[in-house]
Amino acid sequence: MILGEDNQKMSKSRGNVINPDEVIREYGADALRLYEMFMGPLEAVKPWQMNGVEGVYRFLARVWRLAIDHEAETVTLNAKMVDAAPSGEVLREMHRTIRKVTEDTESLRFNTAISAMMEFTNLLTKSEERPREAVTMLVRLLSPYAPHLAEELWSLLGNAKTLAYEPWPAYDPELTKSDTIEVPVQINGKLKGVIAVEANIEKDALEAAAKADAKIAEMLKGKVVKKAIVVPKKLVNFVIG
Amino acid sequence: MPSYHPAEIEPRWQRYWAEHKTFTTPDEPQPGQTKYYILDMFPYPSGDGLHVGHPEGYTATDILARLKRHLGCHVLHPMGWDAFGLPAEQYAIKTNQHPRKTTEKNIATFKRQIQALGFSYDWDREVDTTDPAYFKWTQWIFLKLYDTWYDPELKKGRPISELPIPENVAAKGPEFVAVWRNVKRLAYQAEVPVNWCPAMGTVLSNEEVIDGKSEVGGHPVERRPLKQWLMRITAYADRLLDELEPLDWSESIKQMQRNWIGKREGAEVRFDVDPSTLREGLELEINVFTTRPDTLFGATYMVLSPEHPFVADLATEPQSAAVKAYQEASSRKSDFERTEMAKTKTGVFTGAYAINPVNGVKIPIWIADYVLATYGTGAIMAVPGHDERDYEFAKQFNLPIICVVIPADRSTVDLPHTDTGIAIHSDFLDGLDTSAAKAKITAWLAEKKLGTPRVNYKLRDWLFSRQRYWGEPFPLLHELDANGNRTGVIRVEDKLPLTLPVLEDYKPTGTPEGPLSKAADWVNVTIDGKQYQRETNTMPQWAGSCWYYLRYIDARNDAALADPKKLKHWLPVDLYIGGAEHAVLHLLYSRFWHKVLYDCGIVDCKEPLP
Repeated sequence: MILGEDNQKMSKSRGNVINPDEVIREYGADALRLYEMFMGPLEAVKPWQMNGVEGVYRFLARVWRLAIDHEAETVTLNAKMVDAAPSGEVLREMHRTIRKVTEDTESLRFNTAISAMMEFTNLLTKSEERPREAVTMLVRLLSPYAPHLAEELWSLLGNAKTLAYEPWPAYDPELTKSDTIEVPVQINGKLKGVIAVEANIEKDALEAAAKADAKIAEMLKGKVVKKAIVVPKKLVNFVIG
Repeated sequence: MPSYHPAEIEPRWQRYWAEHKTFTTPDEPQPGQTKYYILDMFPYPSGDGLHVGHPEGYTATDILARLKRHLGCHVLHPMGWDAFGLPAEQYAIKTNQHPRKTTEKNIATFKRQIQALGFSYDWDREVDTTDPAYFKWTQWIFLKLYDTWYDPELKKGRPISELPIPENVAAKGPEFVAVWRNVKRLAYQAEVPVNWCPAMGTVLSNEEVIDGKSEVGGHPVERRPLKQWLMRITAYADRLLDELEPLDWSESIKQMQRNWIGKREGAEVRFDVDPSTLREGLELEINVFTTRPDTLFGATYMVLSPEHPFVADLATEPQSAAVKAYQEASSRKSDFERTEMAKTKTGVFTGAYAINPVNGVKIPIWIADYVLATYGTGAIMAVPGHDERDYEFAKQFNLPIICVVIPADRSTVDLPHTDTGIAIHSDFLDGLDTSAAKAKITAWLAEKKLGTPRVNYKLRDWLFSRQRYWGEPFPLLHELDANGNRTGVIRVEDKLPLTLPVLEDYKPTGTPEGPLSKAADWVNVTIDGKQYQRETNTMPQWAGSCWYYLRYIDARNDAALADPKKLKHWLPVDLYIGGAEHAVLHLLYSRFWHKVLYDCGIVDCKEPLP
């Protein structure tokens, strides 16, 4: 349920009713739809915040700029879009995003699906070269959420027919696996175990993961860790007394 | 100007979808397509238009509908208007224009606003509950209910023509047969206590009454028995409970349904009124329902609802003025105020005593409005040692409190002890645990003909008539005799829909007949030389919203509610999103009608939602 900006139930007598017409005039229907789904789970009670609509509006504008050159005089495709097939991180993130959006949408977890599309957009924005296939994929994923923008970009990307009945993209499960590495864990310099963690894990998280390992935790029980030597991607060593 | 400009993009695509009928759902699926029916709670088109809370659920369902189309499903995603209701009528009273006009205007606003959000509804299936082409079928379903009785043996609704007529009834003639049938129909008339608001000239629901006054306008409201149309939903109570179990719904919604139905097993117990406290020659027995017959030895007084028919006979001379005053005061309160909201218990002693059937003890009979006339038998045995409300009441009025159940672990007992345990101070029940004590006392009561095992439900029959203009008219005619009095024979309208008459004004009449009674030409009908009066009540707003999900399936069919083949293809609904406020009554009423339609062979699944 959506409350007014004052955190109260919307009612005429309280004067806190927000009319969708005004929101649409200012930010568009796609932004309104996206914002309502981004606010949180359907069953949660949450207050309306106009700057939240502003935020998703900026996201949609970023998607627009991925495909369209906003500095040109007329509507022109962005020159950064290239025909080369996606590879590396873009390819992996593309498949992970398809998977996340598909699964979350089917189980009505719309807010996390939107987050995934936002992250993928940020990745593409940062990339110097944007594979056309990856941008098109984002447009297809966005179609149920922001159908007007998706139809428009789909059409500008050279498709004659409505996007509404295009088959939903599939993902390659192999590519959605995150890279994991094994890191040895020592106590007083002796190898006591190996933990599997994500390759790009931060230092603190790596130490926490080592401590959380059942075998290591058992050995550290009741002991004082004087020092923890953490070398990302390489090693964790606990010095105990 | 190639920056992101939704104001230019969005209306253009909305026009494209409309012109190309992009979201029109073909009746036939393509080979290999699975169907997916996504239903929204359809809105009441108020004069205020949409606020941003409305599109929350609609956006969620639209996202799913669009995803399912991408996934190749045969998607049904329609929208419509639950457009009968009080606000349009009140506006009509104020401005003296037909509610149809405001309704059409409001629908246009809602539709414009909804379309501006880019939802992918199939607008060719749009329904409006106030459209005669729609309510023709609401009336048709009403007649199905009117024409059906519930067979408890087969546990299903059957045509009234198949109702067995006892020989002695048949022997008395067709009028008696008609009465026999009328009391068994799923749609029937009865005198029931209702919240009557004289100023608004209508019956109000409990939720519409606050502090004895109408929520809208603050007019006084009184309890009054009125002849009303009811739906025998209680006949389906067990099926509404049992058939809930296999459904894939959230446990909280199932629990709300169970709580509303409120099935309780126990015993009905007979208490004789001590004749020495009654008028010479009068004999009365009061039946109560209890789920805890094992606590009978702890019953120290009785309470009747102020509307109980025995109250006048029970009130002794010195008490009668106080009793009358109390009855008067409670007639101005709603059930909700009398039970949930009451902070302190009130009540009056009638002066009469009853005899506790298990030990012959004389116990005082009180009236108090925390006992409702419509709940159980309208009378209770009070066991203050083991019931919260009885305990509070006994403390307030200094009535005796006896402990007859102690905790199972025999620890110290803290009254009221409402939990089960072990019986004490209960003669032949002493030492038994609660379930054994219940079984023993129930058998004992049955043997002495003082009581019977009973199942009781909190669910009441559904009050189905309103004294309003802007609702579906009942397609029924009351036969009149030569003096213009109703004979009790009811004739069914030959042709549907029966539409509303146009009135000079829409003001309430201030009588239970409702505004339709003002349309003399419409009300009085002669058929084959016989005089009839049309029913002047209208149906509640629930009537149209109970079954709208069926009409979307074949919204323009004029020959049937919907083509059976199409019903079979689309039902049940695959995904429904509606507010929590619809999780109890709306859902229960829909399920009830659906089950009746199932019994009549109209739909071939037992539940509207899987």
